Amino acid sequence: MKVEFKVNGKMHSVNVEPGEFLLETLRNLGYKSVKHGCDTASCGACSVQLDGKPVLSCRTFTATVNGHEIKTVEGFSKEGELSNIQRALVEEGAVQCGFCIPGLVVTADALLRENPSPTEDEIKGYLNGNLCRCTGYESQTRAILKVAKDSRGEKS
Amino acid sequence: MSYSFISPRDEKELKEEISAPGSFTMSGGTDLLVKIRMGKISPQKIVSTSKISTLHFIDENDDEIVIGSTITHAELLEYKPLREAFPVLFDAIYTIGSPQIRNRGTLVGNVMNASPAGDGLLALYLLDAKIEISNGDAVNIDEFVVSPGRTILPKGEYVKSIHIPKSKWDHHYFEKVGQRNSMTISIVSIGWLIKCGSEAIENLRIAFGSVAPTILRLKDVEKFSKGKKIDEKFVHVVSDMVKERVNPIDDVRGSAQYRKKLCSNLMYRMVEEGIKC
Repeated sequence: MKVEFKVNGKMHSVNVEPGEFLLETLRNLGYKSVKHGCDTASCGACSVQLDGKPVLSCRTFTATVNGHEIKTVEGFSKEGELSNIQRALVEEGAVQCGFCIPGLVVTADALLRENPSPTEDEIKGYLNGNLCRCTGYESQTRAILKVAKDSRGEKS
Repeated sequence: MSYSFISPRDEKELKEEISAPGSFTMSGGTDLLVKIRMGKISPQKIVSTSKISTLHFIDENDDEIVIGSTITHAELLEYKPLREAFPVLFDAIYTIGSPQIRNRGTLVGNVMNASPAGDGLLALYLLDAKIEISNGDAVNIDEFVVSPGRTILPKGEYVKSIHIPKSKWDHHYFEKVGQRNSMTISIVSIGWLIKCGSEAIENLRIAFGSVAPTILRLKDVEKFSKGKKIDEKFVHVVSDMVKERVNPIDDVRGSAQYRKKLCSNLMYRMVEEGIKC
């Protein structure tokens, strides 16, 4: 079946099997930031934004995103410049093995749009579907708090 | 994965599609697609309700709130009056999965999954919710759900909405005990609603999850509690009653013995929460 949708602002038209998942379609289209982790809706490594909201691409049919808009981490950096959230993650040492980071960036971005001044607990609560087995979330939480502060114009 | 996927535009088309054998109705797919992945079910056809606009609504009047079957958990949390009118439902939904899951999963899906561990389901039992079926019937939630994964929904029908009657309570509580805090399925979940009279309980509703084939409302405990004052002595008696009435099994998440102990211990939260009634 034919499915048309936007990824990071670019229109794609693809032919897929009815049972094909968005994770596979996106990776076939070259969006390799979207990671194939647990494949059972547990780890969050495959998170992408669907119309601005984080969802799990491993358990989303490609057929259901017809006419919708997807954002992956490839859509965050502009001309090689990292976005604020990406830069903060690097600066705070939140990236170790890095496998969870693409999913984490799209989720953290959605969090900050929903709640521009999150508390530490709210951040940890929102990231509960993005498993990171390296950092213990301390550095990631610091990074998100920093971006929130910076965007409010406060000195961190 | 040799199944077809169909996304009807209206309810008439939906009804035609789901009458075929081997067809499964899906909204967000957060339970169904995981079950397919685990090989627990092998559908011939998946029928999505997500494009049907007449199922996507939240209505409210003086007596009740009506939640359409494609309303997601995230949409319910964003619906401002929910937290005010049904705080126990808000708290229960908030513990479901992660933002990613709540953006896709629906409350009706939580009902249809009919898990004894269903978090939203427990709140619906407490609130005496009714399920509106496409054949026009409205069925009480505790009659709608029969056993793990089973409901009385007739083949070829679908759930249109959930009706929750409005009721006033002084205290509400929801807690789930899992193996960890995030993305967990409960070992035991508990919820209650309490209305205080003058220095005693006027009305109490209490339900447990993961301790029986369905969510369990303890109606005789509710009856016993009327007119009683909440203190350590009362909780001591009630916690013994609870232990006798829950009927858990051993499974990968916890033993039956542990679950029984947990249920009775959780009753002491009434004292810890400092409920004066």
